[in-house]
Amino acid sequence: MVSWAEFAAAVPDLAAMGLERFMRSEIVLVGSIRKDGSPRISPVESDIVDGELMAGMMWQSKKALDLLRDPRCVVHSTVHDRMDAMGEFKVRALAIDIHDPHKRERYCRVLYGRIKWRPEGDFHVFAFDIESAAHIHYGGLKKNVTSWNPKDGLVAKAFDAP
Amino acid sequence: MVSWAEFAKAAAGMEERGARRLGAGVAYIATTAKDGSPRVHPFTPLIGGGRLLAFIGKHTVKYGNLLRDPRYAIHAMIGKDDEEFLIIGQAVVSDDWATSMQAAVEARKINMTSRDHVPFEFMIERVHWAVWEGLGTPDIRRRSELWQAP
Repeated sequence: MVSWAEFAAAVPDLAAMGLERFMRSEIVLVGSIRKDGSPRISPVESDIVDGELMAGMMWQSKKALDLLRDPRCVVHSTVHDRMDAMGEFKVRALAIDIHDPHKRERYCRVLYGRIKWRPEGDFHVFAFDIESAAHIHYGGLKKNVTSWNPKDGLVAKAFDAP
Repeated sequence: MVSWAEFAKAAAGMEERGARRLGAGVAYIATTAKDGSPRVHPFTPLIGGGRLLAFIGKHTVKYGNLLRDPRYAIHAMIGKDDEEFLIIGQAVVSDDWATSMQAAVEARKINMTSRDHVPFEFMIERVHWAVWEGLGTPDIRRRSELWQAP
């Protein structure tokens, strides 16, 4: 499990591409697990703050409560359309509940700098420790998968597109 | 748990908005992996014959996940004013001839191929729609609707 900065240091090209995918629509999708074990999917705004992938969530929102109960999650880029040549980028991660007021303030400032809005009152901030990352895109009649995790490193595979 | 047609009959306004959002050609589906952790995948929902369908490739992670645990969450692409449309329910393999043809007809409309794909129908338990009004102003507020199958 590594921070975004450690991921970027290990595979800078994949991280740069992933960052571009996460930031281009200002929204990512977070997959989490409900109390009954079924999946949930929620759009959130994310940012890289001091080398960590972070997201804020409304106080006691269902997705935040999911992550407090079971920190396993997926952060997935948006795609523009069915044939999106840019492909999809996703990280599997563990969500860390951030209490440090300085880190929380840094997150708010970065968010405000980007969208001119910051949360007030009670709210959650999570950092995502990365377990693995993957970029999947279709091209040349192939499904191209580039994946990375700290144990196996960078692996690129191409499959015949269905 | 109901079909798309039954949802449409019960909540026509939401259905119209949902069909518009899902008609964008791509949406996101969350499933659960073998270890119980979440997965998120883009996919192409198809609405035809009063059913919410999709061709799922046998080679994909979501295919194996849905066979093991049919519970899903579908989120449409975000629309104008951050419009959200979310469905929760269970997926069932519907590879009978009639369903396969229905799904193939809808897929052909968007030039989607379906080789080595299996039709699934997504039965609906709960639907959530929301939009933000006054985005970028101090009067920002969220308007939402929730529908639950009887």
